[in-house]
Amino acid sequence: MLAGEGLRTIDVTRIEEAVAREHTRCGVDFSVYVGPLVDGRDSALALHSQFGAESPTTVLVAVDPGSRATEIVTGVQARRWVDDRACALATLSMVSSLSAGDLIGGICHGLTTLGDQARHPGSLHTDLPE
Amino acid sequence: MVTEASSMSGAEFAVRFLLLPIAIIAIIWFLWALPSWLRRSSFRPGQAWTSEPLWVGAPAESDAITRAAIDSATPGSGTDDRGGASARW
Repeated sequence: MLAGEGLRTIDVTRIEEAVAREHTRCGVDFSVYVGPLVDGRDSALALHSQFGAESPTTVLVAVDPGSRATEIVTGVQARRWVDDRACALATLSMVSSLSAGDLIGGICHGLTTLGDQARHPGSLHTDLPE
Repeated sequence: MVTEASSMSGAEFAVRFLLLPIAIIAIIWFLWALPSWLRRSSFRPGQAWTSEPLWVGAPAESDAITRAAIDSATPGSGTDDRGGASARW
């Protein structure tokens, strides 16, 4: 993880805990980016592409505090578990905190909403009889 | 008969009945406000983000690729099978 100088260690720890908690809860790989998104959605998509083989199962939550924009990008496979409606709901919960000046709370609320809404189907075929 | 209250000096009276309650109230207020101070981010949305981007759960070698990825983003490339949502505040 790269530490941003704009946030305190306790803030980064809160985000890390939220990412780990929601991954444990719903099995989806979450990633958080806080920094400039020069081209908005296109920049977020470009960042998401950098996950390579993990890209299809990764959900990227990107926040640009400078331009007051947030983007959620779901991989092709992750989209089955976290649909666009869930992402829209998460951005709503994020914006309510972000507009009040609570950057970390907004990110954590967004992750929690995504975890709540994620539908990760169990792989029943792996439970083979002896 | 001289009572304890009547033998109390003005300074002692002020300390016991004025400064001491104020100190107790201040300590209670500090303990009450401390959690919200700790929760409050040092960065406020709307400020220019001048430091390095923060990644949690970053892809491998993210520090080298972040700038390249942002710079290589082409407008209109968002038409693929990926999903998500956008918002501004």
